[in-house]
Amino acid sequence: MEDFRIENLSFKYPKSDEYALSDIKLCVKSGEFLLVIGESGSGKTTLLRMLKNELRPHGEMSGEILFRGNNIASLDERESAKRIGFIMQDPDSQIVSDRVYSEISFGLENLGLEKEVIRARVAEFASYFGLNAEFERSTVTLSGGQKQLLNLASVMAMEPDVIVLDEPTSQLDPIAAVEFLDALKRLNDDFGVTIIIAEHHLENIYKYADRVLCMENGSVRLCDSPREVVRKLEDCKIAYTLPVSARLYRELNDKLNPPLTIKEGRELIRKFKNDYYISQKELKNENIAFSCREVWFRYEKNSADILKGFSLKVYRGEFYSVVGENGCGKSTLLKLLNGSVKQYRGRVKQESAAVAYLPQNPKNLFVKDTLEDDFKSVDNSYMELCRRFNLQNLLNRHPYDLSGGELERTALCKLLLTKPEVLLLDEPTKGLDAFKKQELGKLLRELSGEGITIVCVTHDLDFAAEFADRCGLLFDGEITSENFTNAFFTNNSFYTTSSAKLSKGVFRNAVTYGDLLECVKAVDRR
Amino acid sequence: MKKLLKILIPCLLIPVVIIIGVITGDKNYAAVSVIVAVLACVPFFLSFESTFTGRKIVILAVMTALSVAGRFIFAPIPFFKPVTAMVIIAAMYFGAEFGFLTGALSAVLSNFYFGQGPWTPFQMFAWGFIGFISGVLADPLRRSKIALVLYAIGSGFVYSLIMDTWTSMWADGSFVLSRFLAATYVSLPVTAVYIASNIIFLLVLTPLIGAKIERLITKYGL
Amino acid sequence: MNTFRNLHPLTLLCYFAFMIVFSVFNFNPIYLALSLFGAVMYAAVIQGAGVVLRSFVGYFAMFLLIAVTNPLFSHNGATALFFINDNRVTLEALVYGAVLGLAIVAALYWFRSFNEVFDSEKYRFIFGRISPGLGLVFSMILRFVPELVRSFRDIKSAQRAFGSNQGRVKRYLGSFSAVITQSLENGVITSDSMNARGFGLKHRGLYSRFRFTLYDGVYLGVAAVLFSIACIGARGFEYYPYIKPMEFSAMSILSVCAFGALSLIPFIFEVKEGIKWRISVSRI
Repeated sequence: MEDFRIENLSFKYPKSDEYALSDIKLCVKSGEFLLVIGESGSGKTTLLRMLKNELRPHGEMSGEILFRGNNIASLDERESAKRIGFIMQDPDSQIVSDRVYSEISFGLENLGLEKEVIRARVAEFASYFGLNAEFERSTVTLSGGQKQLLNLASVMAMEPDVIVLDEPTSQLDPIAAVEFLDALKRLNDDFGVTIIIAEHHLENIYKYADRVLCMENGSVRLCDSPREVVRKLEDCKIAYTLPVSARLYRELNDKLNPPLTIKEGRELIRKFKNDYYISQKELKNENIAFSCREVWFRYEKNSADILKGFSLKVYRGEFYSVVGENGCGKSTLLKLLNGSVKQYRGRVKQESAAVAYLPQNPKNLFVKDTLEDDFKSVDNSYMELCRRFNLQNLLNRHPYDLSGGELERTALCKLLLTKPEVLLLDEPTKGLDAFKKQELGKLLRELSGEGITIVCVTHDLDFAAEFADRCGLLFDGEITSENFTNAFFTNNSFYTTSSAKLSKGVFRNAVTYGDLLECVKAVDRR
Repeated sequence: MKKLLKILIPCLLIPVVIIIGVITGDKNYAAVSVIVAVLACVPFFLSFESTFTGRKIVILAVMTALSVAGRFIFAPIPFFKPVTAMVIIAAMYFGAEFGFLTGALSAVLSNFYFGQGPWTPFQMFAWGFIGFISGVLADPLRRSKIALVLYAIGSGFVYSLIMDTWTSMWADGSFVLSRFLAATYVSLPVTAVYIASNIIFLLVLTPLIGAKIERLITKYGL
Repeated sequence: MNTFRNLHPLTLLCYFAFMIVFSVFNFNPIYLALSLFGAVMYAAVIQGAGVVLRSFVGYFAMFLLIAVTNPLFSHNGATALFFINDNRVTLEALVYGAVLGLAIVAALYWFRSFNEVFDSEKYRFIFGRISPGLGLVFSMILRFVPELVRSFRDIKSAQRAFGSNQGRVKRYLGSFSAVITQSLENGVITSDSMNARGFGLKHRGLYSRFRFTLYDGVYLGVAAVLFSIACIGARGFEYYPYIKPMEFSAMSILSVCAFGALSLIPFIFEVKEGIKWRISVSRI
């Protein structure tokens, strides 16, 4: 049976000349797990929103979308709400209610179900998603991952045929993201719910998909099984986002079946019985930018310690990444360095007072209605920096209308107007796609080249591996291991990048895909 | 049933309560006024379902939450609170009924955090009333800054007067003019801060929220 | 444990309404003392005796303030104690002030327990009864408020880098206005998420975990009977021009007893359940 059949769908936003979607043909079978990939701005979100009557954007539309054989626009309101579920990026704002159980019951109340039915369903789905312990909790106190699971639970409680998800894990830390995707896969297996999901980060989800839809500039570039996509996809931007094993396979032109997981990728790499290694770039730098010695911190007198004898030295012009689990004190550390909070024991020595802090939500930096007003309120000589960051065309825009990548650049620009010597970044890659991450990373390297010290707190190990000079693992309130980036990720076995996992025991110090490629090519040449 | 109640309460119930209060003696002004304040809110709550649909309900929740959160946020500056201003702005853009509910809900919700007491019905009524009138006067308030400032002063006085009436009635059980005047006199500095905060918040927030609401209307077609 | 606070919200609301209304309408010190006693005992059980003892100071100050100031504004009464600026300060006005003070303190103690017992779930239920949408709005506001306060703190700390030389009011206003923008923007997502889940369909239901049990029925019935007896037999004091205590008759004594029982119900309930609980725990 077919859930969706899309025929020659084109769509144009009002006041726009370009087509956001052009001539899309697609058929989604019942029970299928369809992964939608593509750069930001390639039309993923628009396509997904077209599948849900309540969320369909306004604009000029041609072509047809059939849901189980009938035009979707003719679907009854109640049916539409019930049979097609939709989950968005932002875990917080999707939540309506103040308590977990009443959030799950929200959709059921809308459907006007009997009280007893609601009671039973709420209990059932709370336990299916492991939210039993959270049942009576206030929703604001949940972690991001729990919030997104709650959103999934409250959609599933309505027993939909299809769930459409628009980058549901982009705001989650990697462990929560894996948990969420596993739950999704389990739903697909247990109930045969059709899943249509757009994602940026493919390492963990790619293997789950039945089919992969590659989008580019509003049209379908390729739609096939995951292995076929690895084989058939021409070299284009999307190809860079495929899982590391798959990318390596494409590079090697192997005859084998394309690998999707690290396990399968290891098959590919084992034949390189070679000890080629990446030499560790070591910086010799003696000028300390700031140091912490035996710092202890807690928020309140009777609360638990967040930092416990934390020590750290960061050198001038260095790019230092702090990685670690959620709740290990990473954000607190930045607040301490920023001066928003004070330690109760130990010493923090700042060589420079010019510290700038990029919060996890860069929107928090902006208080005015246009970028220009905002920049003006800091420093009038903003034009030079704007040109450098390529922001001239955005100056009249509202900060909240910017895309994720633009916002990140704009925020950095505003911070640089204060002429900082130390830049503190809290999860700067959150919600960015692979290309935007590269852009940001390069920009940061440039800044550190100019002598600005960068401390970046992140979950994004690939980003840290590619751009940081040194990395430290924050665990239980102190730095438990610290090294130059390549050595750091090579020594870790769990807290490391996919490339490092893939190349373990074969190529030493290869922690990024670039390193991996360099090794493979060097071996080939010999 | 609800429609009937909506007519019965203002036309019949409230006058009856007041008459009973007057007949049974002069002691029960406080109780009568509490009941009247509560009854005055009921029709607005009852008509909630028909007037609030879709995005409007979210905006009501957001505006009320902002005015309640404002009490926490501006806690370090005593009596300098955005509640009245938020209620007025909500009413200016979304109408009298919306204003009344923002006001009344702000009172219940903020007292949920800060403690309910016999003052709750009066606060509900005071803020609701100010919201309702702002909705009625929306046009001049949106057009002229002078009108807005005058209204900010007026609403500061009205709020203070209603709350002083409450204080004096509760302290006497009946209305004693000298007690009321004393209460008003004692609370003059607070009233002044109310008025100042109303003016500041309204002047700063009105253009800002106005622009935001218009932005949302164009961006999302509210 | 089946404590007083676990009764159905409607039952609780009725009870508190009974007690508060009676305390406000009735200026009879005997009833007020009983009401205050019941309220204090219950507050002591749920909040701890220490907390309630400490609260006495503030309430007593309020009581004194009202009792002492009443004669300054009210010069009724026949028994002049002394004169201030040619104004009579009468015994009757002083006593009447004390009774008023007692009424207010009693009502405030009942509100104290009310605030402790009535959690957000119960509010949501009561509002939802008036209108399901109103219950939903209540719950949404409770979700938004802590988030707005947190996002204000985040914005304020993110703004530290720029213009710390501004005055406090200006800094606060700037950050608050950013909170307003963010919350309205996020509100659009919330509203999308609500529409996607069928908000606005006809015949919206209301789910709550409360059940009106037999227990509630019995409890409410008993309370209503006691309340009625108390009302019917109630006799007032007269204060002006002379203090005239209430008449004692079989009916009025019965009324006082009924009211005493009514005001002690939560306390007795709580203590009884506490004992039951201990016994059943000791059996483990």
